[in-house]
Amino acid sequence: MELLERFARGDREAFEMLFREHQREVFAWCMRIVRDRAAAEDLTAEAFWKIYRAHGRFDPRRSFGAWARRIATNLALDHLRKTRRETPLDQDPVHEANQNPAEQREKREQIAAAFRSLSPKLGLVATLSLIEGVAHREIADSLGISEATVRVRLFRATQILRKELKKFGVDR
Amino acid sequence: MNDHDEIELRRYLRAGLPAMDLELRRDLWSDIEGRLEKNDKRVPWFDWFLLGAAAAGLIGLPQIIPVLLYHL
Repeated sequence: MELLERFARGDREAFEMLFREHQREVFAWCMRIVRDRAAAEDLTAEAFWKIYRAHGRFDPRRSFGAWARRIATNLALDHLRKTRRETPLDQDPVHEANQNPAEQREKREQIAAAFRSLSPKLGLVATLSLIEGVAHREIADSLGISEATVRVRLFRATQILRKELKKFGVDR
Repeated sequence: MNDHDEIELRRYLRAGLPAMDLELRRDLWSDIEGRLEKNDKRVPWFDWFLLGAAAAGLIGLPQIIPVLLYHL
């Protein structure tokens, strides 16, 4: 029997195999949304727990990865709603751009402040599209919305971000 | 707002927020395994319901106890 069919029937071994195959991908996706390692790990574990409990609703003819990503996106969105006011936008940078550290920090704080003015829904689309460069189609699939809705949210988000950044004297 | 504005904003945001390390540094299976074990130990609500119904039956109709014992 196929792995996905076994999972849909509640086979724990199949679930473990799928977990090992997809955990990195789901983690990276959560990380791109919440930009916080500890939170992304928690969200990944929570997403797979939800996936395990919902195995009966999974259609083995569909993509497991896309389903997992959608569940993870909804959880990440809930996380953003809860932590909107406290979480800094960026906690685990790989490298700093070739720039004065104080200047870089100030810039990052301005961007974080501008992002905090966005609703979680707009913030999520703006983060994925503007910062992470994720395609509109992919964002739409992971949120279960149309590409047109992604474009509308992105338009609203960019307007708000530009307005907020202007307050800091940044004209983009 | 036109595409050029969006590209400019995108460039500014990316320059301000460095790339993230997206690599998972530990296996998360142990977290899931813990939850699975906890879940296995949990008694389903229906079992509690049956137990309650049986207890209520024995308290409400104590005369069935000898009959039950006879059949056991």
